[in-house]
Amino acid sequence: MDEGSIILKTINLRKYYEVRSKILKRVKQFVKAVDDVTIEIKRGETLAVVGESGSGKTTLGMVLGKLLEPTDGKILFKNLDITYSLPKNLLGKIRLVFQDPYSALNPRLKIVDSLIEPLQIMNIGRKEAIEKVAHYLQLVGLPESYMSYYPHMLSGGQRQRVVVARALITEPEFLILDEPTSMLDVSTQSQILRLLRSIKKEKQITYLFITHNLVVARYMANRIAVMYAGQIVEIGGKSNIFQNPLHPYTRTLLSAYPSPNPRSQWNPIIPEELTVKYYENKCRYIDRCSLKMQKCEKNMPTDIKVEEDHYVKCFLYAET
Amino acid sequence: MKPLEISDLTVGYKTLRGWITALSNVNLSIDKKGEILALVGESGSGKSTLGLAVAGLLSPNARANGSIKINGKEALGKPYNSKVAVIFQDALASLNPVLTIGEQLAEIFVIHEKLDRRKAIEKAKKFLLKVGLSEEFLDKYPHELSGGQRQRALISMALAMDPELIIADEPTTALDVTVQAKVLLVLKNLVKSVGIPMIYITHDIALAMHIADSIAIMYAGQIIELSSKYDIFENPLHPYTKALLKSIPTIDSDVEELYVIEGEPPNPDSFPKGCRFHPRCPLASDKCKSKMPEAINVNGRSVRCHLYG
Repeated sequence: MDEGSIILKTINLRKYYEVRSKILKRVKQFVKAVDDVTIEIKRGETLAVVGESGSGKTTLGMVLGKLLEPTDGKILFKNLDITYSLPKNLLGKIRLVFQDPYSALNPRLKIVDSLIEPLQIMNIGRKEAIEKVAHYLQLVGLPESYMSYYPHMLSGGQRQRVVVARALITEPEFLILDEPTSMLDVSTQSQILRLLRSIKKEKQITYLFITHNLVVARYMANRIAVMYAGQIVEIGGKSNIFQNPLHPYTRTLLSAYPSPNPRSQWNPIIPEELTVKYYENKCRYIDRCSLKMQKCEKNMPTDIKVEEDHYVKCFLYAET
Repeated sequence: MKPLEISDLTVGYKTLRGWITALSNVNLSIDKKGEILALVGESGSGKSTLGLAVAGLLSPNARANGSIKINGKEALGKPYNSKVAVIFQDALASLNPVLTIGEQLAEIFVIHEKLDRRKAIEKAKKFLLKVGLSEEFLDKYPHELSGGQRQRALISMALAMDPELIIADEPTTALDVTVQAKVLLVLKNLVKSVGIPMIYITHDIALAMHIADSIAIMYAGQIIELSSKYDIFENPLHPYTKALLKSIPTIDSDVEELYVIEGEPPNPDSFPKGCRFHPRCPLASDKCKSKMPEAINVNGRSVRCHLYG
């Protein structure tokens, strides 16, 4: 299969959560965690999804990872509709890695049993499976002897390596990484990030890398999608996003990270702290935006192509 | 008189498996009011223990030796010092959920300054304004505030005590980045304008570079390097500091490959012999394996490494 073809595509993907009133349990409102998301992910790339807590990035990962059923829309994986069910031959081709390596492993299972489980579901014999476990432990930089260890005997970084090995063992083509290093220390984080990059190169896997940390996204990704209130407000190649950020929210996010050079200027843009509102007929960022115009009050902006591989949902860049 | 002078501080915790050392022979000082010293290190490096020791909040199973002088007065071994204000990471746990922000803040003035209630509320209003919270927040309960607002309310309470020293222990780790920037700048500007010395504890070296004046890098219970932030960034001495700066991705440039410090930080119950960093150090020699390096003075900077001894 050729590099650059579309491996996963979503069309108007939606995931709404109902918020019910306390007494009569009537639906009061919706949290539109993922709202009208249409993205194309190319084979072999790393797409980073960035945004603050509540932006919907984790829900997007869970829907794409088939852990949640979408409210509406379509997911196409290798041109097959997998919105509601995954064909047998695609079992194990989409895998997830979560943030917390402490709760991701069953404390009563030895590492080898945790790793073998996905293979058993795929009807692979025990002998072959154990060989695979040894191979994948080695791939993530752990000695074979760790097979007989329990999770509590490992450090956070080692556990995360085990979780990565468990995700890789079914030979996935698409790996969803949800904040895989945000609970780790700096020196462990750099180990895991480098490991993930080298595995990607070796195995030609496509990554969806979910993170709140733009600095990590800059290191890992080829393309960046910025989420706010369930929508992707800006998406584009890494250099487009970092050198030419367009959406006011992207600019605000970028300005919040200081460079480690103490002589550099750090002038973060400080937005209002407000709860996110899921407006339908105006821009969702309007309450925080310092550049809002009349137009933003009346319509919801749609994707505007600003340059090759760079789209933004903002009227500032609309023609006329 | 220095606002803070710590000499030869060692702290251990008694556990079921015996004593473990959290801090070994820490020396540091804050020389003038309004100076901000950042403690930077990974989890388990002892940075929080150091903060608790200074505040007099060590748990009962801890044993501390050495000296902590706050404005010349010995603080070690004394109970909690109300002239040291501490801001913790978890603001919701630090605030009383059944009192309004105004009541909690006014309480401080009623108890410590013997003000009557009306005057105390007036004063509380003024302190909230300092951190950018309007009058209406007086009547709000902690759960009604956003994370950043709660942290700012805590900052106003820390200032209300007219403290001689502020300790901020990862005050923004739980917050979103845009909110984090706001809270940190509020804190820094207040500390600078009022002239209160502060210890800022963080694992984020990039933030430390912009908030603090000087930086102490901690590893396995020791300060392994201490100097001005400019020295640390432009000319780091200790191999760990050098590696740390190379192993973080940065926001302003594309890094081809991150530097990796192999291995993991040691457990406090089994620190390696000699230099505690030697198993991970690319420059370790035989001497490093057998002899623990003392903190030595290199052009006015302090570093714990045999390379400079």
